[in-house]
Amino acid sequence: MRDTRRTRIGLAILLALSLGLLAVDSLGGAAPLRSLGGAVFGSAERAANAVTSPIVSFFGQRATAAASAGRVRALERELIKLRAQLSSDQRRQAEYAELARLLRLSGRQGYRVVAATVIAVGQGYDDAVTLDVGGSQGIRPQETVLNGAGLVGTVTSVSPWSSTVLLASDATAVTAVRVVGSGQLGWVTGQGAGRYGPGLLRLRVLSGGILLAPGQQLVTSASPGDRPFVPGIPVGVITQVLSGPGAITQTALVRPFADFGALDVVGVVVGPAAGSGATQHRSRPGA
Amino acid sequence: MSRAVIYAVIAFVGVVLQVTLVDRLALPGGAVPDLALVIVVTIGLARDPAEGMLAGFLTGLDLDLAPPASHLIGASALVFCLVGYGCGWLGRRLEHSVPRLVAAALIATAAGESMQAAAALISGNPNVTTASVGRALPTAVLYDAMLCALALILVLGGRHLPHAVLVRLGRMARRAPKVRLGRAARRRPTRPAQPSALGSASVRPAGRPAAVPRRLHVRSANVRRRARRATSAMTDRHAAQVRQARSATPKLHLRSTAHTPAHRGRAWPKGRPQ
Repeated sequence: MRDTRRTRIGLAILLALSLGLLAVDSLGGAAPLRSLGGAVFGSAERAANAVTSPIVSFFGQRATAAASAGRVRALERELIKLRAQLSSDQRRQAEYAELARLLRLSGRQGYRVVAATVIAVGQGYDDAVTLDVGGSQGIRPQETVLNGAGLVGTVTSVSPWSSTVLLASDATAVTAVRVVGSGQLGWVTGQGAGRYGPGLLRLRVLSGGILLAPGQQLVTSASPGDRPFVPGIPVGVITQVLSGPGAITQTALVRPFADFGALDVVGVVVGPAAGSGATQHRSRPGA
Repeated sequence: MSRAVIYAVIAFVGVVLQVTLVDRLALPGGAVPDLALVIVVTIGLARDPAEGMLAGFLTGLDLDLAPPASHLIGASALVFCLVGYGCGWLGRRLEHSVPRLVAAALIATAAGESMQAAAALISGNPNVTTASVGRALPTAVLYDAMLCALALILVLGGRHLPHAVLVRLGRMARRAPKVRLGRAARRRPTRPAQPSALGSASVRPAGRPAAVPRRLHVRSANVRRRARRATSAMTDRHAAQVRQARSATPKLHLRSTAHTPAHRGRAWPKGRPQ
């Protein structure tokens, strides 16, 4: 084929098709297409992961000794379960008693956590990962994802065999947090740009007269119905306070506990342990 | 149609490899190559605009649909379609020599990465800032161009490497001055046949005619056209030398029997004489 009139007509058709897709998606009509892509590519990524994950762990971020990789994974899974357990235990401590009473969260024993592996990460500037668990394992959108170190993000879309997680480091992600000790409420946003970004999160606190200080730790605050975040998951530690006293909001930079560049085994909180009183709480719309 | 299927498969495999493998590697410089861009640029430069834009559209669509992607569907398809067309346009205007193709790959990947970043900036993606683009782009373009040059050499030169080696060996041994194998040999522009009228060695033109530049031969209309042009140029030069030789040695003129350009138009105006 040459660069003829036919070629130019073809180019025009393809460009029009792309613009049409853009328009359909920006109007919110591309959900079936996206779920189809999720199903097809999710399965392909799961299959490819069997081949690529040894390469990634060999050349990748952390040189893990091949022999101990299996044990490390098992221990990480255990750690995630314990972390989830600990967060619920901490929540029951005196410091959180009042909040817990307010949100009727007391009496819960822990969370059910589904262990998952990261099989793909966002291309370019997207700060998202794909997990190898999906709707068939009981994953639903807006569920909390954590790993052995702390909060990872929240599930945004689910296909039968895979799910997509928006990382807390993404610039569009907003996490409600609570400062350990002072109890101030605030929110954390990512600074984006994926691997090219600074890797720090930005904290804003509606200042109640108590000043932030470097070294203070942040945990997730309670969300209605435990979505998108279950309370008490460690998020990060304040490294630098940007705004001085007198500002309406205080701003600080936060180093996250989770290493977003080297995610492997994570856990998805799929719900409270059976027999808790959370179901009636969850059914309250918009609470 | 079969091309479309082949490119769809290549795009699918490339995108899956990109998100499951390449994006998870920690390479020096912080950035990683963009396999999708490398695929589109390589196909565009090696083939033509039509195939470049087709491969670009398919690859971009796959990038939009592969799960962790959270941008609007169609954005990558649009950008990669334009990149593929541009690379095809560029490739048809370049001689297929390795240094020029590598330079073209560098330009094309830089343009592709910039267009992707620009699309993200325009669409208001808060993840993309000019600072992050400035940090990421140079290293990514470097990786892309290196991969792209490698892919181009393999795609364009790989088929001809065994043939080239054989030819060289043959010439060195003076056993087979012209080793011709397969389709590659048939596509080589042939040297014009010596005019049969000038059988004697005395009128053979002094000095060999300029050889067709030895480049990586590709099956593209561009190269074929250029080869044809070079061939006709040589024929003309031959003709001039033949005329000169003939005026010097009229005996040869009498002996000539075939259609040399000097002869044509003078003898046998109405068909062949019986």
